[in-house]
Amino acid sequence: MTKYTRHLGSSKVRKLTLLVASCAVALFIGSGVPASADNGPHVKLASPDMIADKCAACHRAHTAKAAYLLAQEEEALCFTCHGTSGTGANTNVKDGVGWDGAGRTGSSGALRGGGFTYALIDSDGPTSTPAMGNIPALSTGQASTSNHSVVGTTQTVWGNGPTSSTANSGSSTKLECGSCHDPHGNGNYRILRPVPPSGGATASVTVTDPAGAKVYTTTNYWDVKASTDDTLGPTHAASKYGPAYQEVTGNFIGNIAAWCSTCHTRYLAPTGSYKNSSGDAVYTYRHSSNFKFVKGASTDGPVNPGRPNCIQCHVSHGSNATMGNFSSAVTQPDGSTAATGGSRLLRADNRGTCQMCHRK
Amino acid sequence: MTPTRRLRSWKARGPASIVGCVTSLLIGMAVFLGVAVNANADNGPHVKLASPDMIADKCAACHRAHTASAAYLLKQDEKDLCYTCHGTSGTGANTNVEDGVGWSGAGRTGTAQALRGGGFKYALIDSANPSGQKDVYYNPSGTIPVLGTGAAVTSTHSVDGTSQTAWGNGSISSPTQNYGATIQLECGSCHDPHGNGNYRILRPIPNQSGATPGTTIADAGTKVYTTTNYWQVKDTNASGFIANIAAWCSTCHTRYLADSESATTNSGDAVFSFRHRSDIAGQGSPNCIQCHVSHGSNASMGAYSGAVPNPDGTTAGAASKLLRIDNRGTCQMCHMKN
Repeated sequence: MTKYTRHLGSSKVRKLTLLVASCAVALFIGSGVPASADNGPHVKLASPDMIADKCAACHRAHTAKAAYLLAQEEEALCFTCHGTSGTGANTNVKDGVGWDGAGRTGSSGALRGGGFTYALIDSDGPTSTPAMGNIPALSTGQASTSNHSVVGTTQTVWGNGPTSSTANSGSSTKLECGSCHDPHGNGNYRILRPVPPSGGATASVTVTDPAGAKVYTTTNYWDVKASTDDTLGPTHAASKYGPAYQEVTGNFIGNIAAWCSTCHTRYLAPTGSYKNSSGDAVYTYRHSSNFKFVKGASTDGPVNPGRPNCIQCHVSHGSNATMGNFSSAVTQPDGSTAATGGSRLLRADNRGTCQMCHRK
Repeated sequence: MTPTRRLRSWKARGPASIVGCVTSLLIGMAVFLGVAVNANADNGPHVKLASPDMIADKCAACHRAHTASAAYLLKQDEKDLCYTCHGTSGTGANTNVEDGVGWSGAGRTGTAQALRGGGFKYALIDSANPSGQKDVYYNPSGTIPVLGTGAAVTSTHSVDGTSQTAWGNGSISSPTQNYGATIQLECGSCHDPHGNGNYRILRPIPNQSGATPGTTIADAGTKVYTTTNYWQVKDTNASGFIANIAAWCSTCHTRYLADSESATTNSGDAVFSFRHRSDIAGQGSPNCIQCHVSHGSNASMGAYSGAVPNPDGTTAGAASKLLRIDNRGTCQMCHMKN
C-alpha cells in the first residue's frame, strides 16, 4: 500500500485534509490568482504588485527559519502546497499525483515528472511496436527508487562543465526545488530558470510557456512532448525503425534537452556521438540526446513518438522504476557505487528505455 | 598463465579455496546471467528471444548511454569487454576463448576440454601428432588429438580492432591485383552479441565484409563447444554447419571459395588464380573449416611453411595461418605424399 493510497483511504484524514485544503486555498491562493503551479502564487505579473500579499506566504523578514528569509526549510516549504498533505496546489510532486480541479478536486492522474517519494509510472509494463510506444500510468503510487535531490545536501552534478581530457565527473552543488524552479515566477514553462544556480551555465536556455491549457498529468510516460508542442516539421520516410512520420516540435521538446544540459553539460550529445569520441575522459562516447522533436502521426497511422532527448528516457522529479542485476551494478560516472536499485530517473525498469527504440 | 597452471594453483590452495572459488563462480554466474537466461555462449545474455524483452536488464551489462569509454556505447574496449566473460579470468561464460578451453558445467565447473575453434592466446591442438592419413582426397576418419596443456598460439584472427587485410575479399579481379579489403576486425565482426538465433550467433553478413547476400547457419540443437579430435570438424548437432560454413567464411574471404575445377582452371583473378577446392559439405572433405580453425592455432611452421608470404607478398613470419596441423600436415591428411 502506498502513502498516497493510505492518504485517500482514511476518512478522518480526508476530513482533516478537506478542512486544511479549504483554509489553505483561501489563505494562500487568494481570489484573483490562477491555481496552476507555474502560475498560482508564482505568477509573473505584467508589473509588480506594489502591495503584494503573497510575499508573506513564504518569507519572514525577522523570524525566518531558513536562509533567504524563508518561513521554513525550502523543501518543506514547497511541500506545504505541493506535498502529500498540502492542498494549496493541485500538483502533489511528493507523491507524483495531480488533480484537474483546484484544491485537489476532480480527477487525479499521474504527474508527468514522476514524484520525489512515490511515482505512478507503470515502469514494468512498457510496450513498443512500430505503431506506438506506451509506458502506462499506475493508479497506485510506488516508492521512488531515484529522484533529483531537493533537500539541499551536497550532490554531484554529473557531467557539469566543459569537455575535459582529465577525469572530471562533474561539480558539487546543493540542489533544492528553487535550483530549477523560480518561485517568484518568470513566465517560463514550469517556471524553469534559464540558468539554474550552481549549474555554471554561461548561456541561458529559456523554455517559454506557450498559450493554452497547462497539462501536468499523463496516461503515457513515453509520450513526453508537451500538449502545446504541436508544430509540424519535416517528414521522414519509413525505415527499419518504423513507418514514415512527421516531426512534431514546440517550446518544450525543442528546448528541454538544452535546458537539462545547463547542469549536465556533457550529457548533451549530437548524432554520431556513439562512435565519435568527445575527447572527454569520462563522457567519451555518448548516446545522442539533442533531438528537438518527437515523431508525430503519419499517413500510416500513429508512430512511436520517441526520439533521443534527455526527457525521453528520464523523468524530472523521481521514478519508481526497478533495476535488475546488470542495471543495478552500473557505477556512477566517477566509479563510485550507485545507490542500491537506483533507477537514475529512468521511465522503464532496467534498460527498458533502450528497448523502446532498439528492441534487441 | 595457461589454464593448466591456474588449475594447479587452485589445487595448491586446498579444498576450502576450491569450494570458495566455485561458490564465487556460481554466484557470479547467477548475478551475471540472471535467473531467466540460458547459460550457453550463443545463448546466455546473447539469446534471441521470441519477442524483445521490453524491460531488458542485460543492456547494462555491456553498454553505457553517457559514460561509454568505447564506440557503440560500450563500457570498455570490445575485446576486453568480451573477455570479461570469455577470457582467462572471466567466469560469466563456460567458454574461455582466450585460452581455448571450454567447461562442461556452468561457471566453469565440470570437465575442462579443448574448444573447437582453438584460442586467441593459447590453444589445445596437438598439431604435431595427427594420424589416420589417407591418400583418398577425402578422409573423414583422421585424428588430430588435443593437448592437456595449452600451447601459445602462432596465428589468430585479429580481434583487437586494428586494421587487417581480409585476404581474398571482393570479386575476381584482373588485371589489377586486389588482395582484399582493409577491415577492422573485432569479436563483434563475426558474432552478433545481441543474439540472432544462428549457429554461434554468427552474423549472416559479417561487419565490413561487403557480402551480398549473407549466409545464415541454423543453430545447433545441442551445443557442443569442445572436441577431442580436431580433424572431426562436422558438428553432428547442426546439419547446417558443414553445409554452409565454407560459404560463410567466404563472405569475407570471397575468392577462397573454389569448386572442383579450380586447381586446374584459372579463375582469372590476378592473385587468387588457381585454388584448392573448398566447397565440399562433408567431414574430411575440402572445406575451409577442415584445414583451419576459426579463432587461433598453436601449430608450428617449418622452414618452407614459415617462408610462405601473404598473398600480397609481405612476410608472414612463422604464422600458422590458423592451420590445424604443423607445417602442411593438413595436406597430408588427404594426400599423404612421400
